Amino acid sequence: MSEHGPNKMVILGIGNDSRGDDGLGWAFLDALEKDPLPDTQTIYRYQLQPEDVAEIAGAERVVFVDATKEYLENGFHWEPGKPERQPMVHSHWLPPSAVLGFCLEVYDRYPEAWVLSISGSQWELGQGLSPEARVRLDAALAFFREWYGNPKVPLSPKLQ
Amino acid sequence: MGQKIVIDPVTRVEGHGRVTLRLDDNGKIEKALFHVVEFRGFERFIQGRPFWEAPVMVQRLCGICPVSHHLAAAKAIDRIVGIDPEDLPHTATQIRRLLHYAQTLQSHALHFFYLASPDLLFGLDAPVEKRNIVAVAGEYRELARKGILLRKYGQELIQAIAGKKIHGVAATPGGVQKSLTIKERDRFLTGTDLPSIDTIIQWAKESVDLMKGYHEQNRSWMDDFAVYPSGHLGLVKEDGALELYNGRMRAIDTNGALILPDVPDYKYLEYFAEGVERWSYLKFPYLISRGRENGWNRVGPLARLNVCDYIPSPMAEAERLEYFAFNGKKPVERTLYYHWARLIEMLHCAELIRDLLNDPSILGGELTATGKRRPVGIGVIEAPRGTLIHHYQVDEKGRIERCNLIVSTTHNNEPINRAVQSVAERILDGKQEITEPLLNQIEIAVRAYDPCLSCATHALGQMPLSVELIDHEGKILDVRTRPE
Repeated sequence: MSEHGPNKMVILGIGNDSRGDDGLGWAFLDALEKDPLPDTQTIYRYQLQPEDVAEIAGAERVVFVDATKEYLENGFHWEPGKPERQPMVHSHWLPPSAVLGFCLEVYDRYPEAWVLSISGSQWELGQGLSPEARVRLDAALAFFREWYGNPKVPLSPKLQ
Repeated sequence: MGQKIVIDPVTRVEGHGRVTLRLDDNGKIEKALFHVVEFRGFERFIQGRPFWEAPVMVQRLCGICPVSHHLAAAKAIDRIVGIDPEDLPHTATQIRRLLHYAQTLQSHALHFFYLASPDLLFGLDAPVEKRNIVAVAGEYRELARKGILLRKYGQELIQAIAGKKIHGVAATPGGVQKSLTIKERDRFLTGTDLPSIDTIIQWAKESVDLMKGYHEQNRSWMDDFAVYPSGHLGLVKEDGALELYNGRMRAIDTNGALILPDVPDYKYLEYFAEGVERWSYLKFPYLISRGRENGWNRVGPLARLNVCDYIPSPMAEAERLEYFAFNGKKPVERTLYYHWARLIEMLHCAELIRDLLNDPSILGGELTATGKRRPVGIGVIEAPRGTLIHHYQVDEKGRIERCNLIVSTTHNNEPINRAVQSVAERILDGKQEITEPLLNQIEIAVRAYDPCLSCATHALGQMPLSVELIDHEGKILDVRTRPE
């Protein structure tokens, strides 16, 4: 939830749909919104910023979804998010760990956090998602919905 | 042997810049140059596009102040569709103003709390890892929380009006897309998941009080840092009041004498020209009547408070009077007073937002107007960082043939150079090494202007800045670069 809001889970999609597969984070949210999950807020971001702590401070869980240039054998990677108290020298680009660390600094807590990285392969202006990225997106969505239904179930072997 | 110092990159500014300090044979500062090394492109690649795309496309040149570009372009396109500012429907004007004040509120909050406050709260000698918002949150938690929520309030209001916090679309040629619903309005007026507007005003006032307290304790530092004579430019209402959305252009010189007497904004080309230098992509605008050497002006909060006769909101006006009482003269030419002026403007915007939220016209009414097509449109607003000019010329089919943008940081180009020179002369003179505290003072001078280098060069930019020390033969003696 936001600082005053009721959402139990916040999903932040990070990216830019004008830049090819950098739009994966947003495409993930678009797909979720077609079949919304209860008690969940989706937030679109070009990049994470310090004020995003106000969005996640009261949530039970937060999920950061972003594209990665890294080649991932299964097309995506799911891992716990951990707070780091790191200096923010620059004003407007933060990794999830810094947002969580800032949240801890300001609010004395941070939500259970997960980072979902999805492999992209093309990044030029106006290209839209590549066919490979769409396949990886579908796989990531299927995994996420399964996890959402039962988050205590261990991750599937291919993701561990 | 002459020497040169380079700070590259300068941190906590929006964009990527570089400072070169050139030393003479005696180790004295010969010249300080603030370079912008990103490429300028928007004016070219918008050519050939239909004019109605301009407000949507041009805002993409910045992720920090897109609303300012959106509105300046919209005002220019209004004129192309035959609508002057006074012909815009009242609801459209009020919605645009609300959007603009929300943008200025959040931008000023971003600058003060995230970028400037670490310098002020921890001092010049603090280690670099401490000069950031995380450290501020560690020691001044409530202040950090208020800063976060002030910015969030502005961004949420932008989203309510424009659909998105960044790169939304509110204005259309001759009007706006939508008014607010009562539910949308009440969220900001009385506070539900956000602080109420009265709380925002209170926090903005507390921010000004914080700055006054800082000034009281650091008066000699604030009063003596990077002080130099300049012109000052900004928009004013017909009665001389501070105006951010639609006014006449006024400039005064270092003595307060009028050098641009409240001229219509669409006539800017009669009064301004732009110089170029081979070492920077940033242009150097100046008043033609004063020439390239003397016609440059500071813009932004400090300049706006200098040129206006009063602020048309009571709390901010009371603060303006106190601000000038401290300074003792008008215009204020102390670079660090930018921060103080910025916070007074933040309070002003909060007051204006409250007034607009209580104005029933934002809830409905005529949204657009049409007129007779014209080939040229010029739109000028006061963006958070200063006077912003958009100028478009279109062909008979409505395609953009020519575009000229003079953004706030371009006006402040020469002033930033002067500020760096002033600091360098006082602090770095004779030294061959760039120490961390000295490096930071150069950055503090640049940062006071809240420069947006991405905007100024119309390029996608990265944040940082660098400083290099060079001798008179061009040999680099020292370079300091902030970590990316």
